Amino acid sequence: MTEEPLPEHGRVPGEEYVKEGRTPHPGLRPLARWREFAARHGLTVIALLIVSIFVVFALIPHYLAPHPPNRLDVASRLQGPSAQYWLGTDNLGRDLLSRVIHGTRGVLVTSGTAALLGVIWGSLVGLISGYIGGWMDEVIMRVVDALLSLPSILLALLLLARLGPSRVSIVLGIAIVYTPGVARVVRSAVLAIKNSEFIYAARLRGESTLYVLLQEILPNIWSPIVVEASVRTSYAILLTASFGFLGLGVQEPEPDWGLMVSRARDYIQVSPWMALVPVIAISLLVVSLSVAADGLRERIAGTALDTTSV
Amino acid sequence: MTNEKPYQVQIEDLSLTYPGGVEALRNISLNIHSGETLGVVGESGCGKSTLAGVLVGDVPGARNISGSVILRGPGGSEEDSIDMLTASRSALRSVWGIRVATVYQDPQASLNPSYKIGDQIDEAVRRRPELAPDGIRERTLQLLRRVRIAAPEDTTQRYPHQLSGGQQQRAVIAMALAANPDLLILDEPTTGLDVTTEARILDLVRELQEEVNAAIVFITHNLAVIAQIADRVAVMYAGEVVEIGDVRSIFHEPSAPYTAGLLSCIPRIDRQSGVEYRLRTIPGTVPSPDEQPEGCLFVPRCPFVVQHCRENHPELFEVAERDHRARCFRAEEVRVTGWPQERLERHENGGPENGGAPVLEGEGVRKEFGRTARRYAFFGPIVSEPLKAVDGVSFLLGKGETLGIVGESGSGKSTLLNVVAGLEKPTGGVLRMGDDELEPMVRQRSRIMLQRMQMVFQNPDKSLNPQHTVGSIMRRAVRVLDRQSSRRDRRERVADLLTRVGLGAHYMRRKPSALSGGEKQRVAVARALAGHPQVVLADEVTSALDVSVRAEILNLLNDLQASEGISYLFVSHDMSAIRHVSHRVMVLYLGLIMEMGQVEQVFEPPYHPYTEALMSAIPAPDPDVKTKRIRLGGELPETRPTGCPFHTRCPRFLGDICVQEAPPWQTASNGHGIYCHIPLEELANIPPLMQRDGEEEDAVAVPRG
Repeated sequence: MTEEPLPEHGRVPGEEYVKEGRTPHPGLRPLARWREFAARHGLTVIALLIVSIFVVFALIPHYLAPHPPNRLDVASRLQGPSAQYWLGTDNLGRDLLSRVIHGTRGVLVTSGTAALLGVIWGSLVGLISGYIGGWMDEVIMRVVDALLSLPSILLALLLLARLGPSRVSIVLGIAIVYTPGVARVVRSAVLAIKNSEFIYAARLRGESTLYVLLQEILPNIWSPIVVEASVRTSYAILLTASFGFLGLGVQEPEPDWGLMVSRARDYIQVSPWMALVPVIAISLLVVSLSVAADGLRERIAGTALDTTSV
Repeated sequence: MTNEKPYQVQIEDLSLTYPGGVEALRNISLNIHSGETLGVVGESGCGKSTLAGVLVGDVPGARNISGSVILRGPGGSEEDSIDMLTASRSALRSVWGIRVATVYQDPQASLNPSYKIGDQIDEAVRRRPELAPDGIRERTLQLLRRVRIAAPEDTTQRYPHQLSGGQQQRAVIAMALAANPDLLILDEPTTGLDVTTEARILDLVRELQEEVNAAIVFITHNLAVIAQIADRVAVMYAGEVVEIGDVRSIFHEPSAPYTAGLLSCIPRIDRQSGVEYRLRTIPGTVPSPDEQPEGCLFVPRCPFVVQHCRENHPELFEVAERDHRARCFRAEEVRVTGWPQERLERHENGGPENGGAPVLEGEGVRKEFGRTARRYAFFGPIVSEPLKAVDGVSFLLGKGETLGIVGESGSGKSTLLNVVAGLEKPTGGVLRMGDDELEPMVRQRSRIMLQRMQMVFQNPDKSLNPQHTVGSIMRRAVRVLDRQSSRRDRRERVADLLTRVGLGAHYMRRKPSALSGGEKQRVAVARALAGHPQVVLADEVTSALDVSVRAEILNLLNDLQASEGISYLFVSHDMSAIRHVSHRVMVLYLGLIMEMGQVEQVFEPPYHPYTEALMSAIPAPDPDVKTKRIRLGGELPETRPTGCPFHTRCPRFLGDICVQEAPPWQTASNGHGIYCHIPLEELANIPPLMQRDGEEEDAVAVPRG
């Protein structure tokens, strides 16, 4: 029956696409798409540029900083910008620009790792809670609510007080603070597709819960996770700097932005440069990262329409 | 005839393009007379809804619109004519809701959830206060009575969510009628509703046609609805009107190949059809709107195509008399010969192996949701009982057999299927496959059991993971269910499966987003076949598909049954699909079997009053066939009534016995049972439902309660 030859006019559905060598959704090529995107989102492009400059700082500070970060020049303390010290010096005569450049790596690595860890943990918790449901979901979500009800800085401070001041504790502290928020977002994304029929089909094949979570659900909730990660990273920078300011992070003489602001407090009357330079660095990085994240979110939402419209 | 009436709307050479060169409407010219109902029909993507938008002068996102859409004044008078395409926004605003009113598919989206129904209709009435001499509210009540809402005063005080879907749609229609519009557009007004509700809304529209002198444009994909409701029909294909004419000449002498094809691929409930017949189909799919072929747009799918068709674009040619025109060079031949017969063959399907052991058996399957709640936790009077979604259903499924399960939404048919699949945990009962008892939940079942039973779902868009390619979806299924160890074997098996469902191996690299609905459903069927299943559970597999695609999928299921001896549990609310694929049928109501038997037995008297009402709700795809109107009053009750569960809505209600006593299970003939108090002899004497014109005789049930 099935082998019967199709009548002359018969066509295998969709065959024409293959014959004509075209795809049903003829999108622009990636490069062209980016170019169009850049034209429409100038701000995002500028933000991305700034972020990448900071990334370069973090990668090769020794080649870019005009001076070693810890070299003292007692003769020229608390100076404003000059030809020798482009952004001025601090109370010990160290070059502010060099210290900011050298401090970038610490800030980016700490906040990046912290946000990443927070997103990973949060995603795991959200996936499990959303997919398995029942009393497990109930318990997890109440714990999440409890954690979310505490101000994040307070919660992180409590954790840091327990762990002692170090870069690792800051990473862990921020990650733990972020986990519940991410878990909520991921859980709701899971709930939205949990009852899709392709999940039922996987269950009817006898697939394990782990397989369903990682292969069927996770690929469909990438976009909220990526957005979550990018937004969280920029906030993590603020948190990291705050901890540095409070003296809970790395200690002198390491160049740390938060710590630099904290030290500048005593000299703010004499030389505002000492405070301004690290503060501007912090704001510039945070703002650029969130603008870039916004652009990214828009782009993901735009392309996600045809692939993730579950 | 309607032709003598003046024009209400004149559409002249209308074309519309969306950004990216997508031609949604191509050179449409048509006139709508005042007082007539023009049915617009076509599959999805043919431009029906865009046309509805153009009629009100509002198509968001359209790039180029040319031509004209003239709306004439009341009764088709020349003065007050307005061109909906060039009119200013403020001019349009003075027309919307007053001279033109629209009713859309989803009534819930048309009503504001935070205002009472009465206030919302009042607002519409206030646009033309001169029509309400006795006060606004009085007119609102009149309108509600006009759309046959049972308790108008009470309804005005309710919020939309407190009404059923059917009542909501009635309220929306009342709002549309508030200003006595000259043009009433009904855009798929019954599509989201249950069959029984749909039937009652269609009755209403038919009654309104008599009362209102407006031009009505009725847009739908359902040909049968059009046959029953329209005076004239316009068939749309790829943004063009391919055929237009009187409803009778369109249905009896379709002259555009597309119309002929569409008409021949619907399973007919009123004629001889069934598993042993193949449905005819239209090969291929609607061209994507950005293609601009030179010749006729239907060439790739047309059996009548000649070289001339490829090079020239046909006009709407006059066919026969009666203002019937078709866009085809060979319209005369199409009219005479019809869609090619070659595909109407019998399946070489011997049907189920009678006498063999059943492959699947259910005994007293029950599923309850919720639990008994008392006023004070463990004490006090019972506040709510658990909802019995499936209440002791027993069935047998033989090898190579299809058991159709039919009922309204809320009848428990999908729950039953989910329980059989092991996706929902049953509250009681036993399931057996062959000699082995099935564990209740899917995760407890052995791999062999999983292989033997697979499922195909309703929504093709959701049944394939959008992030995986067809190839990886299929390879995984083959790997898990078929235990093919080597990569090459798996590849071959996937290619083989895809070929068997009518797709090719070249589909493997595609993602689901690049497939049409029918193609997705084919992949879903192929996936279910991966482990050589004995039983396939089909949950409303055709209800999300277009007419021509539906026929293909039904044929595919029948073919696979014939070649592999698969048994189906086929759940659908569509009686004609059920009739076409089933060997035996189970009719469910509130979780209980009302009637069960061979398909011919169930579809012929004696039938259960519920079955009768369900069948009567289906419009026949032929304007001359009138189905006897047996309408169910009210909605599906939330808690099960005492005695016979159907007694609150039964059109053949006997009296106290139905309220007090559970009906007996009466065996009519071999394997045919009816759950009803009415004696079988009486049920057997019920005259047939379908009648040709002229012998119409309505038996309208009076809804109670």
